Amino acid sequence: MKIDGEKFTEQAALYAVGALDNAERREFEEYLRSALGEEKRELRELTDAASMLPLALPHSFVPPQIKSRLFARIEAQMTTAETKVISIPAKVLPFPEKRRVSFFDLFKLQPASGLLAAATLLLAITSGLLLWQNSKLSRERDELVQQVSTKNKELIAKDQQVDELAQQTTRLISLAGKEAPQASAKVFWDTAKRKWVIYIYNLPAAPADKDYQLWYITNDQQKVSATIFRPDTNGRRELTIEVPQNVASRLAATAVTLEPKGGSSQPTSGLYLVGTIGA
Amino acid sequence: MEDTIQPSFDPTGDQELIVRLRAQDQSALNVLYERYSGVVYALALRIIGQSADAEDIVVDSFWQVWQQAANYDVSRGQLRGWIVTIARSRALDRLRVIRRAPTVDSEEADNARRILASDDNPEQETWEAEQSAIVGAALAALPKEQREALELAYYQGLSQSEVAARLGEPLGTIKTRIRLGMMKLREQLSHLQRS
Repeated sequence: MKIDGEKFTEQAALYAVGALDNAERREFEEYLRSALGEEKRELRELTDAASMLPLALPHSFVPPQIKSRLFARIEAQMTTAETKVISIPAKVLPFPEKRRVSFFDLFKLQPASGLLAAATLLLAITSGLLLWQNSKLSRERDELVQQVSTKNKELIAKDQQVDELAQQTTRLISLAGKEAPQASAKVFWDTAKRKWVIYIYNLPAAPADKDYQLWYITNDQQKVSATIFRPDTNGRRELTIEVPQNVASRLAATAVTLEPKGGSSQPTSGLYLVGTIGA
Repeated sequence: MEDTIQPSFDPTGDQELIVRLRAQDQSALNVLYERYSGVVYALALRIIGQSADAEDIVVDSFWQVWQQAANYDVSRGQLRGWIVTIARSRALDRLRVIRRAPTVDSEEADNARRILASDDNPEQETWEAEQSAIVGAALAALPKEQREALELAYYQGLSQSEVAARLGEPLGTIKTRIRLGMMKLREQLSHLQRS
């Protein structure tokens, strides 16, 4: 199917600013596979023009910590990669001096057979070493494939989670630190499914004999335990919980306290995190 | 728009940077970051409106550039275009998650916008300012309706149907506005485009 000139320009312009609906975008991309050089050039010009739009935005100060974070991530990657490198020491064998072999040398096999046996043994050892290395690399490759597969599954789950969070029925609750001022948390509340996805940041490590406890606080000031958790070593934690039906309709706030291990029936400490829930 | 305005600093060498990136040369990424982090951050801030999320977008976008430099097809357009596309896509994904959240910290975003860059590279700063002026003038020269339709699509990730619904205009009108607007921008900005 050929798209005529003006129609192509229109589709290309819409594509360049990301305004095509999903089905139209796929159809247009399919068309581009066999597009003429002139059409591809026009699309490139429009795409380049669109990519210049942000240049007109007010110039903002780029916080220096962004760059530090980026390069720290790269350093971590490089370090990990280096530990994966397997060092195989080179083994250089002296090449025997060339000598003329006469017909009569064939009858002097006694000394040569020793050398031959040594060479064969060396070859066998080297082959064994290479086989072992190969086997080890294969195992590592399989482990990596397994890791990729796991990551893919995690990615799909995350995508589903993002889709759910992007629903119109999702509300955001921000929790600020009180006892731990540097801590914060975000709750994405899928009101249709009564599900909370909670992201907690910078919460201090809990002592060994204590746990953090999340509470629902209702509009008549009842504190209902939601869950018990411990943050990781970076103070982070992601939680997914279902809000009981009899609580969901009465929620006024949510909070985190530090409780004896296993949790309490009512809060016994100050509020480490707290966030109010508007109407 | 002043046709006589030309950038005094042309940051050529993107292709060389890509070759170095493919060889995992961090200094190349550093150059690229200095060159484009400003526009990526401004874009993320414009789309999301929250500086903490915008910071994440900058880190993730340049990380993706670092990881995927080998996949960059030079024939598909400018390096800046590729980076901006990555950042826009990531920012819109994040926006879709927080779009309907009631607590967008607009004050924080405003503060971040107000702080001007203290760039220690005056040549780069001049080049950015000139490009910004040229693109800003090209956008300002568009009829308001065309600019509005373009910005809704580009910065809010709305499809043409959604733009039409938002503005209460027929779909055909929106298609025409975007086409005309983009054609004018292409013409006005053609001298900034590098092959």
